[in-house]
Amino acid sequence: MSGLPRSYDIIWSPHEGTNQFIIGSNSDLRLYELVPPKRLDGKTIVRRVTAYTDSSSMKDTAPMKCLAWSPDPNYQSLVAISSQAPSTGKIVLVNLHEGEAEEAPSNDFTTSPDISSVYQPQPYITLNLRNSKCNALSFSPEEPRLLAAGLEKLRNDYCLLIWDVEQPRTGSISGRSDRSIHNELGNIGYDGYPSFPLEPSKSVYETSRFVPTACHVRNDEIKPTYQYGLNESVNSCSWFPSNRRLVAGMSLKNLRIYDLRKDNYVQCTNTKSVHGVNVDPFNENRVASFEESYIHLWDLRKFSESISFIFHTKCIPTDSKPVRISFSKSRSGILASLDKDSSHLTLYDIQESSFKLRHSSTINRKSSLESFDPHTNLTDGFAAGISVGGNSTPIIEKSSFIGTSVTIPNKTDEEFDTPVLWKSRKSRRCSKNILSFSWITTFSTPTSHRLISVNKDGVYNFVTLEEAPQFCWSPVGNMVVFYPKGFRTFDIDEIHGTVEESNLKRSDPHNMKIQGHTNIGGIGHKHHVSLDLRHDHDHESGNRTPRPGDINNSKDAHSFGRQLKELKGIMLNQQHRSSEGLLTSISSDSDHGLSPPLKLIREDISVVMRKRAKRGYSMLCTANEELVKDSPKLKSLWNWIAQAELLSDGKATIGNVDFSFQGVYSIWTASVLSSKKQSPISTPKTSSPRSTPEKADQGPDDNEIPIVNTSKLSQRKLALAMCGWDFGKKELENEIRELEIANNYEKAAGIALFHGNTERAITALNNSKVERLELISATLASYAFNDHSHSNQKNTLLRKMCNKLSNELREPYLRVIFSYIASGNWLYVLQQQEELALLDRVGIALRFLDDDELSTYLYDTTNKVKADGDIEGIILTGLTSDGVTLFEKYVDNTGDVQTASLAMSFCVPRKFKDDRVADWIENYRLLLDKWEMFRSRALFDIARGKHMGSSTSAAENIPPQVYVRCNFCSQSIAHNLCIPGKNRRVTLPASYHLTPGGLLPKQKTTCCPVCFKSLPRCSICLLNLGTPTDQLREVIAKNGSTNDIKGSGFDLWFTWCQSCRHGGHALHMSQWFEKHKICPVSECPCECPREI
Amino acid sequence: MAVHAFDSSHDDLIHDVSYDFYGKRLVTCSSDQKLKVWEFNQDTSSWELVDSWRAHECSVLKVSWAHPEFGQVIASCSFDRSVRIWEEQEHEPKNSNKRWALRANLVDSSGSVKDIEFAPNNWGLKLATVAADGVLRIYEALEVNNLSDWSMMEEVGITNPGTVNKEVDGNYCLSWCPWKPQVSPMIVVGCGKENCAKIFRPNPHNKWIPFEVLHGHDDAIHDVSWAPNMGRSYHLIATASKDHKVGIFKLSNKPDGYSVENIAMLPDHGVEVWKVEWNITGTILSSSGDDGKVRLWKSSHNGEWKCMSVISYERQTDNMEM
Repeated sequence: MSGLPRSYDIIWSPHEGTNQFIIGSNSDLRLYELVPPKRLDGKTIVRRVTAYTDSSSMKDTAPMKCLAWSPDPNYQSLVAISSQAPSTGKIVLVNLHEGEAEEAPSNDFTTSPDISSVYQPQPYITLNLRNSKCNALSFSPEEPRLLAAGLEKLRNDYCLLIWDVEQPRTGSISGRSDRSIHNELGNIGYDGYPSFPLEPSKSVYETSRFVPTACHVRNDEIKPTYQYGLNESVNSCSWFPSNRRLVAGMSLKNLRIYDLRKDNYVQCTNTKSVHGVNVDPFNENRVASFEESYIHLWDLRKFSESISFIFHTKCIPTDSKPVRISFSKSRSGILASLDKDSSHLTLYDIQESSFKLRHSSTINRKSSLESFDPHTNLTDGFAAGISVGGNSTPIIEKSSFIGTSVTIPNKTDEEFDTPVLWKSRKSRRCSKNILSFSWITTFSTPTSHRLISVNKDGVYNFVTLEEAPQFCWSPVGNMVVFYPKGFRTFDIDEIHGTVEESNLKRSDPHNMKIQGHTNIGGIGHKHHVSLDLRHDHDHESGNRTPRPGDINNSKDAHSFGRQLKELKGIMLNQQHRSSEGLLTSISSDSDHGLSPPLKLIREDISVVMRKRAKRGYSMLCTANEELVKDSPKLKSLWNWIAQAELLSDGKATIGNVDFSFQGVYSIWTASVLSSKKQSPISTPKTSSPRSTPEKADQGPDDNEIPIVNTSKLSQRKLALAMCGWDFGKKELENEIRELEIANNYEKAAGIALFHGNTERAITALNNSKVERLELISATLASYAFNDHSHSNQKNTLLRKMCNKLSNELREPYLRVIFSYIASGNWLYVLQQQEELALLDRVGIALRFLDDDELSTYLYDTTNKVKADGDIEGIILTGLTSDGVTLFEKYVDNTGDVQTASLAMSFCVPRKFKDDRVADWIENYRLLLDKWEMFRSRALFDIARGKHMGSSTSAAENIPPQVYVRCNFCSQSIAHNLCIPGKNRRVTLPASYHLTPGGLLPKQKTTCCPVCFKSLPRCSICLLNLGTPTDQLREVIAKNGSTNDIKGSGFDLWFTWCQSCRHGGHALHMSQWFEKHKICPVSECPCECPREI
Repeated sequence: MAVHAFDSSHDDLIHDVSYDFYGKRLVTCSSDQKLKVWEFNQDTSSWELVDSWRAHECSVLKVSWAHPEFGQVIASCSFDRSVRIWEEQEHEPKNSNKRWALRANLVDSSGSVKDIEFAPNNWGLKLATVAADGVLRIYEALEVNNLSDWSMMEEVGITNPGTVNKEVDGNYCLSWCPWKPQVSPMIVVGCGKENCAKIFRPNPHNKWIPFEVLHGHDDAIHDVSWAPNMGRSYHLIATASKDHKVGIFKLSNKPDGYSVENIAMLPDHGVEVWKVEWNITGTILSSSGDDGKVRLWKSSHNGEWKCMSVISYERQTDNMEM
């Protein structure tokens, strides 16, 4: 990246609770701050705090090479910069924060390119780099005063330099010669090594802070405190979180680990993978580095053996090479990497494939400092103990000799071998290639990875990657969704909904949105950035503590976890106000066309079916009609089945042909066959060849409503009856009256018209006393008078108007009326007015269309409903194989296997068999079982059994499952083998089942009915099984018979342990095991209740 | 609305969660190497922890409940290359860490075990596993009473039948066909870097081989889910892929197998999708991805699948234009 004309680097503040970041370019540094919104719905803005220009660098146009942000808690924005000018190699430390007050917060997101207007902080320390270039800069997270710099190769000089940046101010460090340092660890500004202050004393900083420039010292006054790497170049370096160690990639050929207490490196491995070396803050044994196109992962416990984990970045096209890698500070093993010329970041999720270190304590900086015990480490002057993780983890000692290491054998050594790359994920692509990135430590959580990147135009961009939440569906349709510290159930069974949902929408201060564009370094690109950032409530009070890598604190930072802890197990209905960052659903108004998840789930067929089943959806048509009244099509289905069921006992016959549960279409087409004295294929029950005169052919009836001339009058009549349209004149009048009473005048008029009774239709409309309908009645009347004068001019106009009305009105019956007035042709009406219920349409067709038209119409309509899976179409197909095809489509469309099972069970398997129906029924029964609605399932089975007819009984389908065999003759001791078996653990009944009403001679129940040998004895009362227990005998004595024993009838049964096979009376056994765990038989150690 | 929150008390990422047959219990597994079993308490309307125990030496990746006719049995798999079978000990007190006893430790895999699932109960107590070594293994407990005795019935290389493929970090996943009247059992397996899923079932010689291949993704498949059939005339299989898409495949019967049709490729997540699962009727598909959101998909009347709802931990904010 240094080769590019302009290069940018970005770093996020290492300080907890600060939302600041720095973008460094060739010549300047800019500090930005995210300002959380004041109001909940406010926008988060990005405001530039200050900028710094290195005037000397500007001159020689040397790009800024390295950036490091001091984690020193006393300095919020102390930054080290190395300039790359070859002649003036130096590192400058600048405190950027001092200029904060100079610039008013701006709400427009552009930042002024005018640098001169910005406060120009002065560098207060400049470190001389001896005319070398700096390749790496890094502050120690453990001791922020230590700054490591890796340099290009220098002849006869050291290249890994470590400064104590507080040195000039604390003033107690004598400028000693470089080479003498290593031997005098104890004297470098401290009171001696073992007790050196872990935190620099506050007062020192307080004073220096007010006069930062006063501390400015000349370059040559500050000497490195430590230096390593004679005649080597340093490619990269990184501090370990503790124990004053750092790892550096050296001279393109090896990785070395330095311990500041040692003169030389303590561990070394030869590799070309020396770039971007990085330590996992959660696992000090895990180091990552990269070379050309590989990222290597090192396990320090096997460092010298070069056990490295390599993964290819070959998934990225072309010759992509990583240019930057960085471990997440919020979760172990998350490594972000950026490839050259790529517009996305890659996140690798590394898991230990075997033994896993406990990393819980490693990251909390304080605790790691506390655990640092110099005494123990210094007791061995020869070897340094590298203690990692908790105290339970193995300690591997490395000798300090170059290139050799001794691994203390450890039994878990083989265990912690291979890290596994579990997931590699790419972020969304940005519009431009990314130059650099940084973890946003303040907002990253273990499940939410936030990064900020800068592209080659100097525009920053937020990158977000979340962990995919885990979720699961329960059988009843509930859903559970897991989030970092808890889970949430969407419970469809509870119905106090809307209040909470709306509250959830409001109380969500966590989520702020950052929106803005920057304009940096004079480059005029406006770029939108957006980021979902969770903002903590405590921000204003300065109390927020999401410390990078601090597990405990980050828990607090994201109060989701904390809140949940407090709420543990409490329903959120009462508490939602206090819990931010809730799992919320997107309200439908904020996102196009989305509905709240619970609403969606509640409307799903899985939930609907269960609800219907609970309410008693069954094979009782009238009850079902009431249940499904919210669905007109299902209502009409059950209405039709009810009608068909009424007609099924012999009324739906023409001649000897039984048309029960047949649809209109089957009846109509079948009648062709029947006129040829053949039986319809689908009704094989007809056996008699005798043709009885059809009732319908008998002379006209006064009550009869005329039907169009037809050759198949009886079929038409039956079909009308199946539709429930078999009105006589009187019934029609009653029907119309009922509709009028129900204020449904439109339908009343329609029904009247559909039966050819125009006058009655006019009356019905007039009866409505609604002006609009009365007007319509006038129109209808005018039509009625002109009925047979089609050529009439006026009539044409009327028809035109009616046609128009028929298309514009909303009420289907009125539309049909006008359509009919306009055309005078029912076929036309039927083809135009498809909104009319299918039942009505078919009724009209049956009454008015002539035979050919009817055949065509029925054929077309039947095919259409079958193709659409229109459940109303059952009136056409009936519950036949055609109906199954229709239902199949319906099930395909809706998944409503319940209705299909219930409806088809009327005819399957009595009239015909179909695998599809059997499948539906099995599916539905399984569903009921999963819902633990065993009773509903049983009722369904019973209802099905009733409709199966006498030939097949449901009970016969289940053979006896268990029987008890006599020890001597091997015959069943049951006196009646047909008794269906019960649960396999419960025994069969003895005598009282066999002698209902005492009809059979009383048999002795204590012995085998075949060989008359005694049954075994009860292990409690030591009487032969079959002997009634005492309590039972009392009951028998009272009632004179065992038949009256209810429920407790099990007491007479005998039972035994499946394992030790000791047993006795069920009553005695259950009493025994109420108090005991072990078999009642002496010496038998069997814990019978456990053995199932 | 009935949205309840509970503390999961896992110390690390939760990798999988599974309901038991009746939806009364939950088991969760996590990077903290533990399994936790939860039970719904009707009286308090809350989930209570039954037990929590350290199940593996590494992150536990997946868990699966067996059908209740085999008892309260859980299988778990982990990066430690093992599959473990756990059975509840009714006599051990709750939260004793001992309530689930280790019945079997299946260590045939030479790579971390990526996915496991118990077969529909009509095929017996069978367990299918896929591991990073690229092998589909089917175990069966021949004696249901003895859960420590599992025999490996099948060992099929996913990419190349018969060979054990040493693909590192193979992203494999599987899902049984839940349809019971099937002639033979079927499993759909997501085939890692082949960017496809394959349907495995026994051939006439009772040897499991891949039959149909589900093509359509441009990258590795992270998860597969076979929809409950619910009497439909076709099967639905959902896939979650690294190529940011949720795929839905329709399998229709044909004489010698199934014709596969890719009926939807849903890009809404815009990031890698990691999990898909159907609801009980196969009418709602849910998916979750790197965007941290769970999306619910439903088919409209014309058969078009659409994202109908989004569940997010953080509320989505609008993308305001400048």
